[in-house]
Amino acid sequence: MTDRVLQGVSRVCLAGGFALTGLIYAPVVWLAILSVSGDPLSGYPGGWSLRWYGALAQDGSWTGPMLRSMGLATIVSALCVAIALPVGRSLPRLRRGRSLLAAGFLIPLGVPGTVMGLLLFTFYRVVLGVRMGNWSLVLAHVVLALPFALIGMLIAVSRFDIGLLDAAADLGASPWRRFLDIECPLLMPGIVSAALFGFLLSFTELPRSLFVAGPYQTLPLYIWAEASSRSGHVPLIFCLNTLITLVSASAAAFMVLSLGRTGPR
Amino acid sequence: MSSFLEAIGISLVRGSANALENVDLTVEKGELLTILGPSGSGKTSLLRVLGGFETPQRADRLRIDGEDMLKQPPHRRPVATVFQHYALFPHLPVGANVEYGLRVRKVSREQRRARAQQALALLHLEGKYDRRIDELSGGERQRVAFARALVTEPKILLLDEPMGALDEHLRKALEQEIRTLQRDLGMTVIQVTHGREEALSMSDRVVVMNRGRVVQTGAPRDIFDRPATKFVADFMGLTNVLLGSVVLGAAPDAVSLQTDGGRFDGIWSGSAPPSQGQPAFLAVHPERLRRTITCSGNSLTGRLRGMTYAGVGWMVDLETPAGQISATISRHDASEDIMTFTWTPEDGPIGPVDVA
Amino acid sequence: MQLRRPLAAGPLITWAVGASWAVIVLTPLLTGVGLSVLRHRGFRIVWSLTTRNYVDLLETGRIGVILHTAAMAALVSLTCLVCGFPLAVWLAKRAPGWAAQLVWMCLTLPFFLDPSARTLVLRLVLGTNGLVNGALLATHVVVVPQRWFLFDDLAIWLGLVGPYFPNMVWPIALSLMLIDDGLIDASHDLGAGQWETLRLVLLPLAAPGLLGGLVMTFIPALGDSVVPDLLGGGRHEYLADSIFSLSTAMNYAGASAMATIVFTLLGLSCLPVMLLRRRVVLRQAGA
Repeated sequence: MTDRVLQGVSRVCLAGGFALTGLIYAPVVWLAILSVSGDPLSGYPGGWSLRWYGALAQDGSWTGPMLRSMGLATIVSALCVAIALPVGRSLPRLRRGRSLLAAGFLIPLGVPGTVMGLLLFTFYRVVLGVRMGNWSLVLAHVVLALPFALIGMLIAVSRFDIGLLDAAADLGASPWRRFLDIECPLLMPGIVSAALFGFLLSFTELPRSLFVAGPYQTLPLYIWAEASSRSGHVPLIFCLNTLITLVSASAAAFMVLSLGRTGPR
Repeated sequence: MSSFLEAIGISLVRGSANALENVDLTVEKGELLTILGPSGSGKTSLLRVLGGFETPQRADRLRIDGEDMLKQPPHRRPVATVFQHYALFPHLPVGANVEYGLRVRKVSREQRRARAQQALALLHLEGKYDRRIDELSGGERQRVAFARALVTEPKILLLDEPMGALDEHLRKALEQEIRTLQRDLGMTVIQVTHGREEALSMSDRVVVMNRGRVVQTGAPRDIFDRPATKFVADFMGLTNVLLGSVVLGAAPDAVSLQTDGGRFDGIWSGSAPPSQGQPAFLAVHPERLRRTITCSGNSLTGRLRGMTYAGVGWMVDLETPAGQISATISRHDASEDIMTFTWTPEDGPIGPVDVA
Repeated sequence: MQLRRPLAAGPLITWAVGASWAVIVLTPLLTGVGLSVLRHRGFRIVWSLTTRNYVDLLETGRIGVILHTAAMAALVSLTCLVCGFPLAVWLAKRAPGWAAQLVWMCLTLPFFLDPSARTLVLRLVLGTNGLVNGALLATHVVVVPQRWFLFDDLAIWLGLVGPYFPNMVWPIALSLMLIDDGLIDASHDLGAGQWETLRLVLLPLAAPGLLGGLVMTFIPALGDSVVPDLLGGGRHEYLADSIFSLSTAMNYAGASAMATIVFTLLGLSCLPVMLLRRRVVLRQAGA
C-alpha cells in the first residue's frame, strides 16, 4: 500500500524534476527565438530578422566589459587550477587538520553572494582603505569558484590510486616524472573541471562584483545595468546572451563529456 | 663474503606498533626467497623497506650487490616490484605500461618497443601491445605487471602477494611459469606471500615472519619438517600439536616429549639446544599419521569423534588421552570407532613452546 | 596502509595556502561581525561599541526582509528538494547512459548562464502582454490580462527555482552514485519494500548529498540580487536589495549587522541538521 503511494508520489515528483529542468531552458530558448525576431520587446516571436545582431555588431559599448570579463575569467580559471591542484592532491594525504582545512576552504559556499560581496568590500575598502579594482574582482571570483574547483579536484583525487605513484617510482621515475606522467593525466578531469568552473563562474558572476568592481564593469554588470534600465538596448542583450549561451553551452558540454568518460558511469 | 642482498638490523615503527623488529635478511644471487607470514606479520613492510617506500627507523646495513641503498629513494634502487594489485597505469595501453621503466631511463623509442615486445612474448602476451588495461583479464594483468617489472632488468625482483588476486588453477600455472622464468633468466627474486603451498613449492629458501620478527629461515623442507616454534608448526598446517615437557635422549637432537597421554619420541627442531623438562610441543601433520593395529613406538589410540569427506579419503577426528588429533584414512568400515595411529620420530618434530 | 612519499612539499603548500585563505577570505567575514557593533561615519569607523545598528534594523523593518527572504529561499530549496531527489535517483540508478549524459549536461549548463539574461525573459513571458497571459486570454481562462504573475513572490519563486535546481540535483546524484547497487538489491532481498529501502538505505547514505544540495540551493537563493530586482517589482524588499541600499547609503555597519544576522540564522538552521545527523549516527550504531 505505502509502496504504491510512494511510487505515485515519486513519479509526480520526477515529472516535476523534468519540468524544472525545462523551466531552466524555456527562457533561454525563448530568448534565442526572440533575438531573431523583428520586435523582441513585444514578447512574441515573428518577423524574423537578424537586424538586432547587426545592431549588436554596430554597438561597441559591450566590447569593453566583454574583454574585461574574458580576461578576468581566464585569470580566475588559472588561479583555480593553480590552487586546487596542489591543495586537492595533498589535502586527503595530510595526517591531521584535514577536516579543518577542508571546512575553511568550503566556508564561502555557505555565504550568500551579496553578503560575501559586502563583507569583502567592507574589509578591504572601508577598514583597510584599499581601492577596489581588478584585484578585488579576481579575489571575489576566486572565493566563489575555488570551493567548486576544489570539490571537483577532490573527487578526481579520491579516484586516484596512490599505489600507482609507488609503481612509477619503483620503475625509476623521479618525483617530477611521476607527477607529469601519472598524476596529471589521471587527475585531468579534476583539472579540467577546476579550470572550467573558474572560467564560467567568474564569467557570469554578479552579486559579488556589484560590490567589488570599483570603477570597472564586467559583462554581467553591463547586462544587468542594461536590462534594468535602457529598454531600447534590451534586444541587443538578447542577441549578446544568445551568443554567450551558445559558447558556454559548448564549454559545459565539453566538460560533461570529458568528465563522463572517466566518470562513475 | 657478503651476500647479494644484505638487510641487517632493520627496525620500522609505524604508529605505536613495531612493524619490523630488528629483522635480518640476506639473499644470494639467483635465489628465489619467499617471505611467509600471516597478515600483519611485517612481511609486506619488509618488502616496502627493500623497495624504498618505507624508511626504517633503524638499519645497520641495507646493501644490494655491495651498494648502500639506505639513502636511495625508490626510483634509484635497482629493484622492481610486482604489486599486489598490479598498479598498472590505467591511462596507458599495455605497451606503454611495459615501456614505462625504459622511457624514464631515456631509452630510444625503437629499442623500447623491441624490448617490450620481447618481454610480452616471454609472458605469452604477444599481440596485446596495444590493448587497454581494462580490457585484460586478471591473469593477463598479472603478466603485464611482470613484464613491466622484468623489462628494466632489475637486480632483484620483488613480488608482493603476486598470486593474491588470482583463482586457484591460474595460480598453479603461474607459479610454475615464474619458477621456470626465474631459473632461465637467473633472476634474484624475493616473494611475499601468506600461502604456504606456493612458498613450499616455489622457493629455494623460506623466511617465516610473525609480529615483525623473523621466526625461522630455511629450505622449504626444513621449515615443514623442523618447525622451530609452535607458531611455525601451526602455520605449516601441522595441526596435531601435543603439549608436554622435554625428556633428553641419547643423541643431542633425539628427544622425547612427556605428555599426559604418554611419552613420544621425536627430533628436536628448536634453534636453541633443548634442556630437560623444558615445556615443548610435538607436531605431526595429519597426512604423516599411519593406521596401525599394534601399539609399539609412537602411537595414539582414540575414539572417533567426527569424519569429513576429503576427496582422496576421509579426515577423521579422534579423542585420545593426549588430546584431540586429526588424521587421514583412505577407506573405512562403518562399524569401527576406535582407531590407532603411528608415526616415525622424523615426522614428529619437537620444539620449544613460544614465549608469549 | 600509511604511505611515506617524497612529496614533502605537498602538505606545506596546503597549509600555506590554507593560512593565506584564512587571512584573505575568512578575516573579512569575521570583521563584518565586529563592525556590526561599532559606530561609523561614512568610511570612518568610530571605535566605540553600540547596539544602534541592530536597533536600526528592527526599527526599519529590515529584520522582516531577512525573514521574508529566508522563507522564500526555504520554499525554493524545498521545491528543488522534492523534485530533485527523484530526479537524482533516476539519474544515478535508473537512467540509460545516453539519457543520463544528456540530463547531466542540461543540469551543468545553468551554472554558466548569465543571471540577468535568464531572468529577463521571464519578465516578458509573465508580463501583462506576455506569453502566459496571451495563452490564458486565447483559451478564455481569463478575460483581462493578469498583473499578479509578475512583480510578486510568485515570479520570484519561479525565477529562483529554475536556476538553482541543478545545485540540488548534482550533490544528491553524486552521493547516490557512490551507493553500491548491491545494497539496494540486498535491502529488497531482505524483504524491505520501496519505502523501507528509501528510508533505511537510500536516505541515510545520501544524507551528505542532501545536506550539500540544501546548502547549495538555499544560500545562493538567499543572496540572489538579480531575480528580486528584475522580477520583484519592489513590492517586497529582498535581502540583496536591502544590503545594497544600506551599502550605497554608506551604512556599512548596518549592512554588516544584517550580514551577522544572516550568519546567525544560518548557524541556527545548522543545529537541527547536526542533531538529526547525530540521531541517525546513533541509530545506525545501535542497530
